[in-house]
Amino acid sequence: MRHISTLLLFATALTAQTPRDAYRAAHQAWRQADPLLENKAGTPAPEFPVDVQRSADAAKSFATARTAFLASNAELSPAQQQWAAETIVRPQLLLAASAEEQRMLANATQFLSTAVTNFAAVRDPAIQQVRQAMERERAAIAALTEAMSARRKSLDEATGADQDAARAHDAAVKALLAGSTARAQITDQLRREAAGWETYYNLLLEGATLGSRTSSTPARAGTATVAGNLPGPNLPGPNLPAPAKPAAQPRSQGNPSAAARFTGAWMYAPRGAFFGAQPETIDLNVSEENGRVTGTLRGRFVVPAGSGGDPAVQFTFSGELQTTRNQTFPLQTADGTAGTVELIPGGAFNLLEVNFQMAARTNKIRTANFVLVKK
Amino acid sequence: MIRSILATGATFLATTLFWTGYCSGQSATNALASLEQSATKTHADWLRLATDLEVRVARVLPCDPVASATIEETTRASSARIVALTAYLNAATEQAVRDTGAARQIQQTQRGLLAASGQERSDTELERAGIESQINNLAESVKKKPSLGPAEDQLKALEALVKERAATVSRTADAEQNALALYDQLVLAMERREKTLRQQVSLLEEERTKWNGYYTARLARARIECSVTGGR
Repeated sequence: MRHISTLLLFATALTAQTPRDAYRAAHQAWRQADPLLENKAGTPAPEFPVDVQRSADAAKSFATARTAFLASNAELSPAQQQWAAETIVRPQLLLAASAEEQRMLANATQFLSTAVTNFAAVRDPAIQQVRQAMERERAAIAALTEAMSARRKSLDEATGADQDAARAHDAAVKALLAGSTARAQITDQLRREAAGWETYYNLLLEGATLGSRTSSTPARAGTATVAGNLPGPNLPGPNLPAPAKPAAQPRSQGNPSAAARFTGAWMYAPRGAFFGAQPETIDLNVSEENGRVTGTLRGRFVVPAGSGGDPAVQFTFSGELQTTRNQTFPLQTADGTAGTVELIPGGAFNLLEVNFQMAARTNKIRTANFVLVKK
Repeated sequence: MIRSILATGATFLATTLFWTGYCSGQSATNALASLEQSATKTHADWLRLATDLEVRVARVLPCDPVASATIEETTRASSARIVALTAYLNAATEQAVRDTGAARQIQQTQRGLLAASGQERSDTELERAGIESQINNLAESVKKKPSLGPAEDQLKALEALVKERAATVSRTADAEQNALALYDQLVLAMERREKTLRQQVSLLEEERTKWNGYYTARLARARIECSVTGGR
C-alpha cells in the first residue's frame, strides 16, 4: 500500500511538472501587454492606470508560471528521495566462508593425507581400496577448496565494488540534494522578484499620476508655490490630463488601523518624487498615542540663487487619528502661520506622500507635495 | 513539434515505468531480509552437522546404517544452505539491477537538467533584457517627470535581482556539470557491483557442485569401509 501511495505521489509530481512553454507564453504576453508603458508614464493618458494594471497582471501571471516551473524542477520526486535514503545492500558477510568451514576441510585433508601415506605400504587389497577412496575424497576436497578460493577472490572484488558503490551513492546523493537546494534558491529569488514587480507597478502609477492628481486640485494648480520669485513646479502640471485614480491603489479607503503606514521617521530620498517646490532635504517624524497624532516636519527646498526665498520650512501638526486612509491635520509654523498637512500612505509600505499648504508669506514656501521614504 | 512532444512523452513514460518498477521493487528489499534470515539459519544447521560429522560416523560400526544416514543428512543440509544462499544472492542481484537502473535514470535526468540549463540561462537573459528595455524607456519619462524616480530605482533593483538569479543559475549549472562525473562514477560502480554479484551466483553454483562431490566421495568411502570390513 505504501508503495502504491509512493507511486501515486511520484505520478502526481510528474503530471504537475510545468513545461517551459507555459511561462514563456506568459512572459511574451507580459512583454506585449504594453511595450510602451514606461514611455507613456512621462505623459500619462487617462487610461494609463488601466494599462499599468494590465501589465501588472501579466507580470504576476508570468511570475506564477515561472515559479511553478522552477519549483517543479527543484523538488526531488518521492521515488528519488527514497533512492537517496536507501543504503546499498552488502551481502559479503553472509557470503564469506566461515573459519569453521575452512578449519573443517583442513582437518579432513590432513587426516586423509596421513591415512593415505600410512596405507601406501600396506599390501592388503581391502586397505588399498579404502586408500583409493580416501584419495578420491581428498581430491574432492582439493577441488572444493579451489572452488572456495576462487569464490573468495571474487568476493574480495565484490567487497571492493560494494564499497565503491556505497561511496558513489553517497556522493551522488549529496550532489543531487545540492542541486535541488540550488534550484529551490533560484525559485526563492524569483519569488522576491515577483513581489518587487508589484511594488514597481505601484510606484510607476504613483510617479506618473502624482503630478497629474495634484494638478487637478485648484489649490495646487498654479504653479508657483511660494510668493515672490521662487521657482514654479518642476512639471507642466496644468497641461497634464487628469487620469483616473489608480485602480491598484485606492487612496481614500477607510482604514483606522493604518497608523503604522504614516507613523515613524521619514526622509526625502535623493531624486525622490515631488510636485511643485523641489525638496532638498526633508525630515518628518510622526507619532501616535491613544488615537492622537503629532508630528514635526523640517525641510529645505531648492530656491534660485539670488531670489531671496527662504529655503527652510518647519512646522508641527497634531490631531485625532482619522478613520480614513489619508490623514489631514492642521499645522502651525514657529511664527504662528497656520495651514494643513495631508499624509497619504504610498503604494509601498515604506513610502509616504505629503502635501502641505500654508497661508502666503513673503519669500516663504507656501505649498509642497513630495514622497518620503521610511528611515 | 509533434515529434518533440512524442519524444518527451516517451521519455516521460519510460521514466514513470522505471520508477514504478523501482518503487514496486521495494517489496523485494523486504523479501531480501527474509531470505537473509533463511540463509543464515540453514548455514548454521549445516555447520552444526558438518562439524561433528566425522565424530558421529566414527562412533558407529562401518556398516551401521546410521553412518550413511549421517553423511546423507549432512549432504542434504549442505544443499539446503547453498540453495538458500543462492536465493538470497539472486535477490541481492535483482536489487543491484534495480539500483543500477536507478543510477542510470538519475544520470539521465541530471544530464537533461544540465542540457536545459542553457535554456534557463537564455530565458533569464531574455527576462533581464526586457527589464533593460523598460529602464531605457522609463529614463526618458523620468526626464519629463522626476516623480518617476522611485519607480526607476525599483526597476533597476529588479534588474539587479534578475542578474543575481542569473548568477545562481550559472553557478548551479557549473556545479551540475561537475556532478555529472559523480553520476557517471555511480553508474560504473553500480554496474561493477552488479557484475561481481552475478559472478558470486555463478561461483556459488560451482561450489555447490564441489560440496556434493565431496560428500559423494565421503559416502563412497563409508560404503567401501563397510564392504571391506564385512560389517565387523
